[in-house]
Amino acid sequence: MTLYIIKELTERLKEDISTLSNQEKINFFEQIIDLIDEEIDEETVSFEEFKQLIEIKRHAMGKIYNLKREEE
Amino acid sequence: MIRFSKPNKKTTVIFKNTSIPKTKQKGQKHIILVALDTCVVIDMAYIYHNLDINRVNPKKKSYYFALKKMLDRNVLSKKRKDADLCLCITPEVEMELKKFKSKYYGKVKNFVERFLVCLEIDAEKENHFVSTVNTLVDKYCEKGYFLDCDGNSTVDAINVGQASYFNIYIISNDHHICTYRKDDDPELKIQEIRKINERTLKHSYREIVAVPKRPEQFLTLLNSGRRLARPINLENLRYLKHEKILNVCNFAK
Repeated sequence: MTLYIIKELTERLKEDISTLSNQEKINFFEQIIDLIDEEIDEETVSFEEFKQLIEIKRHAMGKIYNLKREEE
Repeated sequence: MIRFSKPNKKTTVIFKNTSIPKTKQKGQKHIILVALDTCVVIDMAYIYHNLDINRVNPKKKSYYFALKKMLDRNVLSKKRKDADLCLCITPEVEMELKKFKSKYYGKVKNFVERFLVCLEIDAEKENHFVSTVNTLVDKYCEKGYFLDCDGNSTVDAINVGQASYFNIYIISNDHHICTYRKDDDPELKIQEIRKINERTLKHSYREIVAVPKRPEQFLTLLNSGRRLARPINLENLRYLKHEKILNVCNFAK
């Protein structure tokens, strides 16, 4: 299940969101982070999957950082 | 040399910026502050909890052994009386490790709370911190380092920038951050980062500038007895964090 989620999230990060406004893009990446933080079943995540999920979270955080700076 | 001393305590804590003296003065302790990258924190937590290093991929053995050595030298680990490292995390790494619900996260969180110090900035100094880190990130980006596939800066840049703000070595195993043997000139990136840090943070020519290191490289540097970078801007930490570093150092006596 977690592997499926990782694949899904990785695909979502590659989605073309160029038509969205900056705020919508930020919301998009924040949703991904929330999903990782809150929704994933804590019992089924292996150590390697945990590290992969952290990597995805880091990727999304980097995107948010750049978007927020663009807004400034 | 930055000296912190507590009233009613005989020991003076000295953040090391010189080679290890042959005879340490009685009652003095040399503490070296080091920042850890997210993956290093996770791996170190895993080692602390249950990983049998002898069973890991042989290619990664030296990395895990170096992490274990660093953990043993952490002043909070209580394992060695001569421990001399204070392992820290930047605010960015703390944010990355927040909230996650996995059982592994529980172990990491527990490890962070017990053994690491977060370099949390004082609210009044926050603007200075953020603008300096942003400048560093922009300059790394201009030079073409720490970028994602779209050419935007990544959290790696922020981590390196935040550790650089304190002139503290950041320990990472990521080839995007440290030297990478497959690069044409593996040392070039490190030299460029050193130059950027030196100019942006206005180091004097005599000061040593902290740059990213792999755990093995950092231990080699420590054991070489060469001069190390001196932490700066520690006075901009939140009072409690400042106190915590002091307590960590006194605890290690």
